[in-house]
Amino acid sequence: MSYPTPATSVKLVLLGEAAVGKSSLVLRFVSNDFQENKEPTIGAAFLTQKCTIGERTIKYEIWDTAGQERFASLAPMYYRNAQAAIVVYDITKPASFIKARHWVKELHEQAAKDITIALVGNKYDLVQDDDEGQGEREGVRKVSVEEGQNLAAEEGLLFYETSAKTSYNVNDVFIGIGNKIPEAASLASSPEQNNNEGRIDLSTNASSNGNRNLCSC
Amino acid sequence: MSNGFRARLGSISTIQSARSLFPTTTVEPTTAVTFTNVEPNLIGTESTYTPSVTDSEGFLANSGLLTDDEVSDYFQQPDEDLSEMLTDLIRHTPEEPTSAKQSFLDVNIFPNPYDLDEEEFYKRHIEISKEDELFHDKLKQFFILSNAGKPIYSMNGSDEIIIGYMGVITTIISTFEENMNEEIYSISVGDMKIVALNKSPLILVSISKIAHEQPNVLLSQLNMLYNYLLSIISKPTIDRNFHNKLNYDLRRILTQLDFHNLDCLCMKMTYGLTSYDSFNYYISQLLNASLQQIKISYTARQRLNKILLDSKRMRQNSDDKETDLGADLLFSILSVNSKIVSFMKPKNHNLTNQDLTLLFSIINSSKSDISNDETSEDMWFPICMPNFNPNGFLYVFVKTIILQTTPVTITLLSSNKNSFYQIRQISNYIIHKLTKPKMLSKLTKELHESNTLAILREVPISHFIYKNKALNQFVMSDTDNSVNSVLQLSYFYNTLYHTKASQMKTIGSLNIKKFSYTRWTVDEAVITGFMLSDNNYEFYCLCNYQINSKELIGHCIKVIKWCEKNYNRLFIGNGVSFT
Repeated sequence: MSYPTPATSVKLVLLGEAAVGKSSLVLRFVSNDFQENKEPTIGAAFLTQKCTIGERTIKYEIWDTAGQERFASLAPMYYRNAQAAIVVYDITKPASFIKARHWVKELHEQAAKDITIALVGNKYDLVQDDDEGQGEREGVRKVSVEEGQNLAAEEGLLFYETSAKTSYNVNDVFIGIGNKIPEAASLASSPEQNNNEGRIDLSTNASSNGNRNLCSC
Repeated sequence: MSNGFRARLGSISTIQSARSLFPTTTVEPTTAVTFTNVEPNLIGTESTYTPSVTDSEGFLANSGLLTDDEVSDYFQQPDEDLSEMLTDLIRHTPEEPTSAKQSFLDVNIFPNPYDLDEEEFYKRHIEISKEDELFHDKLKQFFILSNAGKPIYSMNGSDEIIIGYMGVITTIISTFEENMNEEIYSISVGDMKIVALNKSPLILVSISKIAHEQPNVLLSQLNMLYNYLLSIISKPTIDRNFHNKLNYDLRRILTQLDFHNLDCLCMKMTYGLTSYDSFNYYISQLLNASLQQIKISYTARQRLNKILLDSKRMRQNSDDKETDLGADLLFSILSVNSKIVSFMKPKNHNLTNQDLTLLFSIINSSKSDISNDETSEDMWFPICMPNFNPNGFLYVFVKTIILQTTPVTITLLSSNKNSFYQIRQISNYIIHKLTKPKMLSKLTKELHESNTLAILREVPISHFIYKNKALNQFVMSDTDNSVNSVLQLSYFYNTLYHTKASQMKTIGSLNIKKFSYTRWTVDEAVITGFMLSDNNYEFYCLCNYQINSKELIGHCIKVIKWCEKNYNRLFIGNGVSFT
């Protein structure tokens, strides 16, 4: 290989209930860093990170969305043009798994047909036993591996359990998604943003001035 | 009581509207100077605030009014009038700069009945605590509740302890509303002041045991909290939810971050604590929502303004169609640590200082964790700017880049929630221009130096504030942000601010200058505070030793002249407009 292949851009969105660790997963992936008691995201944060998988270089354009209900009505804007989505739940919080189901359903109904979705059960470190062994701490885990696997199998999703804290499996999620995205599907994008930006259709949403109700209650 | 707001001991006062409170933020001179030559110009209005003499042993405060002539005389003949007057006011003792830092407790800003040390005092009386144990010890309380008495937010204490008080508050307020057709009222009992703001369906209440916090200040704090709620949920959403269900629980749409932000606001407004920009925020509020400025050369500012204007006009060609990238862009702000360096706005619209302060508080609350240039994140979130349009949202793009070591924040406000990618391109353009080698080296050099105001090297003044009244913008010397310094500085400036005469009496077209001199003696140390103002500016300064009066006023005038001379470097003015 004399020349690196040009990077393919992949738009990716993270969805999931508040405080399941979406931003932490991104922080681990982008900066290989972790922060306890991270501030919640307001609205959404946009980040990019390159990732080399075999001979391909993928440039992830990541939308890290806020998990709070108040911002839910903004979500379609982020997943509308996404080629990949990561739906995150907290394996110690059953309610977050229910929320994850809802997101998967919404994505299948509203997002692009060929979207690649990964279901990610985060905070594996909480159930991990302190001694290096394979065992798990009792009573901490509230969503079993099987439940996650079953949902993933039913809906055709990739499935991982991760820990943003220990970085367990985090890169695998992004590599897994990269592998599943067909080379042809990720349009050969121009070196910079222009082509991508051009894909957002402004005209359909031009009326978004004025009253905007954030609350979905 | 249309234009007055008087706190009397053990009295209840009501007023017709909140509006009438704001113009009367100032309080009378503690001791009016009665020199024969100035007497005719002294204005004798009622004093509502008297810094208690028991505060510190050697407390001395004097203030007076001078006509323009008198001060201009001084300006021409430095040995005359003003300095002589001061000479009489200031006791002369050998000058000796204070070396040891005294504690805020020595200054007796707060009563200390249990004789606690600094740390214990902070924990017991100041620090926010949601535990019930110390609830009654706190000097300050804020409550937000619904008309129906449902608690939404409390600065201290748990639901259990506050729920009873919520009942009492709603009862009193509805009694006033129904029986007296009165809206807002304040109650003061001894040193304690209670102020309520009725923004039906919400009620906001503040209780303060801090002597230097006046009811009008408390009321503007309540307005700030209310504006925060508006900024994140907007007026129509609040109204709709409560319209559907009187018993609605607003907590359902507030997030952890919102409660955290409310906590921060409460601490900032009351004490100027606890984050790096809190003291600036406190002074900004004290000076009537004045906006803090940063020093930068005129040419650099012009260049930055041009970059913002150029970015607004960016167009993009794709598929034979020309897109106007900046079509939805309304406001662009370049700032360093919440201080605006360059500002662009539409010709016919503006953001008020309150809205800008609120915007910065929210941006700071979710500071980017990733500060590496390559991977820094772009934030995109909706915000309602209450004074711009309380009914709708704007969409904010925020990106912070580090120029050498200085974080420069680009904030772009758009009217369209789907314009992220266009706005991002505009931001990329701005970053591209800022990081061009020539611009980068000039800018980083200037920003680096902006913290140290050159004039301070020439005068023995330890801290000063200069406010341009027409612009409502101020410059302030650098502050060390320790709890101790902040509590003392905010107390000193508060006293100085409130010790000045409340109104300027214009005789003919004279531009009357006012001054006020205050000294605190703490143990062996002496702090001298001085205020001088006229129609154009307000100047406040602190000196950490007992300074010769002639010298002091000479130094102050030197700094004021320096500020006037550096007008273009110190102030952004009205920013640049596009049409």
